[in-house]
Amino acid sequence: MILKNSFYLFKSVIRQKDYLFWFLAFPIVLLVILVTIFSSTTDVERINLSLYLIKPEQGEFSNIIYDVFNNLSSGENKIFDLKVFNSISSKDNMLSDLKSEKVNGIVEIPKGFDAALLSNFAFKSFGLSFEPPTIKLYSLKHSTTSQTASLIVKNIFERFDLEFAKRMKDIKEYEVETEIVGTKETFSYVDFLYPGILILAIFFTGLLGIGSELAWYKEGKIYKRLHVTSLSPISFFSSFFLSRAYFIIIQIVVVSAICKFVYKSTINPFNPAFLFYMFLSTVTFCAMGFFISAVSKSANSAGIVGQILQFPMQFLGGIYFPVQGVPWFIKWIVLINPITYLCDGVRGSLGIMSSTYPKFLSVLVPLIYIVIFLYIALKKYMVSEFS
Amino acid sequence: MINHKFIVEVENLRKTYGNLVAVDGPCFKIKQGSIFTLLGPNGAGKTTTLEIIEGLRTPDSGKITIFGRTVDRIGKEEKEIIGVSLQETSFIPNLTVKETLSMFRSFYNRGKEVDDVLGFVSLKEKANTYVEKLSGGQKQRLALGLALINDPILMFLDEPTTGLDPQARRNVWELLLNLKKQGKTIVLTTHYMEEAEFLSDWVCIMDNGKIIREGTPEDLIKSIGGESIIEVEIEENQEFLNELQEMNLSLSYNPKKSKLVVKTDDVFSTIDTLLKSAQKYDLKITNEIIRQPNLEDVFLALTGKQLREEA
Repeated sequence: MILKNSFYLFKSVIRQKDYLFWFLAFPIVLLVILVTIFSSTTDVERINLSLYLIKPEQGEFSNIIYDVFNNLSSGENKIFDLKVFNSISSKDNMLSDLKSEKVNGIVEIPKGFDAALLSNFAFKSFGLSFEPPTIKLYSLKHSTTSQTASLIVKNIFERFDLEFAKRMKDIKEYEVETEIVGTKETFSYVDFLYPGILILAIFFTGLLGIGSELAWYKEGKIYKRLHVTSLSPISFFSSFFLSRAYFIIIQIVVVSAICKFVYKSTINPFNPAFLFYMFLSTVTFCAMGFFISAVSKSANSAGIVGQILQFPMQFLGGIYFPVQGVPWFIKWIVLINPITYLCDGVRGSLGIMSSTYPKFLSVLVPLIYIVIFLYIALKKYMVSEFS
Repeated sequence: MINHKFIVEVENLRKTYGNLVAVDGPCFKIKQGSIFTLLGPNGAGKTTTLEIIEGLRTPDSGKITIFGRTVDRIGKEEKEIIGVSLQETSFIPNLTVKETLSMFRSFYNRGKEVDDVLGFVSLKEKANTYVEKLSGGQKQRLALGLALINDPILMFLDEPTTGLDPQARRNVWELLLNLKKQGKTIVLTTHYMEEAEFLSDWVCIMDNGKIIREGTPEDLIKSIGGESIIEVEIEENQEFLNELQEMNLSLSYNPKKSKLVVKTDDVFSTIDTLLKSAQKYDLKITNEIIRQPNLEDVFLALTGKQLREEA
């Protein structure tokens, strides 16, 4: 009976055009707009840096350096657009290109580099020490791209694990910002937004959909009509929430399909952590809508309560952007907002960004809300509608 | 099949809301297979009484015996064989008539076929229409269909024709008479005296939470005496009314509607008296009606007010 009624209640909701717009189409529209604004395609995060390599002579070590940069400059995931010069005669032009940002970095292997390196090795074995050969790396101050290029190059040299890389001297303009490079290499706004938009869609369905609908049932005396039948309130609410769960599954499937196939999100929607947080969000916001319907006298007042709550919760829950750094006078909204913990939990579990809060809080805070909302709502319904 | 002479027995039911006494100790018995009507104006306590029996409200005190069993409140077992149509009901939106009936059918262990109910309430052609597209009369018929879906023994219908046009009201009456023919016991509330008179086997007249008189419609009408009623519209004049009362005429006057109602066994002589007195006080008589007494007159005689003051 619960299953059968859930299908009727599902039909009732799926036939409402405005419902479909606000709770299915609108989150998708929002997703498209935000992704378009903040990252037009998935390729936008790929790094393509232009680099000049000055290699005036052939030598074993010089060739190794060349091979490494050459490999990083070919294929689908190439990092550099590499141009190799065998002479330093046009060095002034190259520096001019760097200053006018036609190129993001210049690596200069000096003449006699291989010979000097070999000599150093040889003399070192006798306990003698000579001035090491120097690879010069030119970059442009105040240019993020140029600094990123120089940092990547430096990292490459470090990975050679060769003595000459350790002896490389930086030029004055050289600056290191490891965080920028790290973020640039891995961050994707689609991956960030995808779980957030799903939580938003579920939030809308629970807070605005379920809240108003159940309040309308009260206003229209539907509960009264059901109460004189042999249907139990628990059976009815089970059918109702099951029907809304079907709708939320549709939301998840549609949004996931768009994120995966259109925006090439790297998140696996079958990841157990992802599914767990979607389930937790569903229960949290259904309970919240249930609570609002229980304490509201009419669908209209439930709608108003929902609207009042949805703005601060939506924008101060970390759906669209991180909210850890908000001013103190609104920080409390962030901290009491269940969306904050759900977004933080799912993103942390999926490795999209590091969790701000301990993992247990991401589960515990929504659970506390669920228990409070369900307890009050059930008690209120039992007294007012089914006593 | 349950077989009791009285399917419902109510004793000294009482329900208060703060200082307001909504139901003030009515006692009545409902015969199986009959149409039993609670008749009274708005606020008389009909709906509250009915909702207590249906299990929607808890009485402060009193005793309810239903299907031979005294109960504090009715349970699932009783609900399986009771059909209810509430005073106002909205339906779950965006479901068709057939889907709505099918959904309600699934609430019960036993019941009628959905198509049979659709046929009975003449909604077969509207089976695939969304409930919000139905007219008032069709919605009321659907509400009746929902009350019927579990093939109940006892039906509670709270003002089933309120807000309907005369033709739609007649259609509902026909349905109720058919249900009675099928052996259903119907408990009806109404403030339409003609409805109570046309349908009821037994009428309880309620006012201020109390039953002020009960009996068959015929007996109730006979109890106020008089073979005819004369209704006229005349402007208020106390001397004129005093003079008629001194002539021992049984009358009542509604100043809001300027309506004078006179009960009489001698129509011609009463009309003659009225005309002469009106002429004496220079009053104009309009909209004269001569008719048989009805339950409205019973209520008027018992309470001094009309059933539907707004009418």
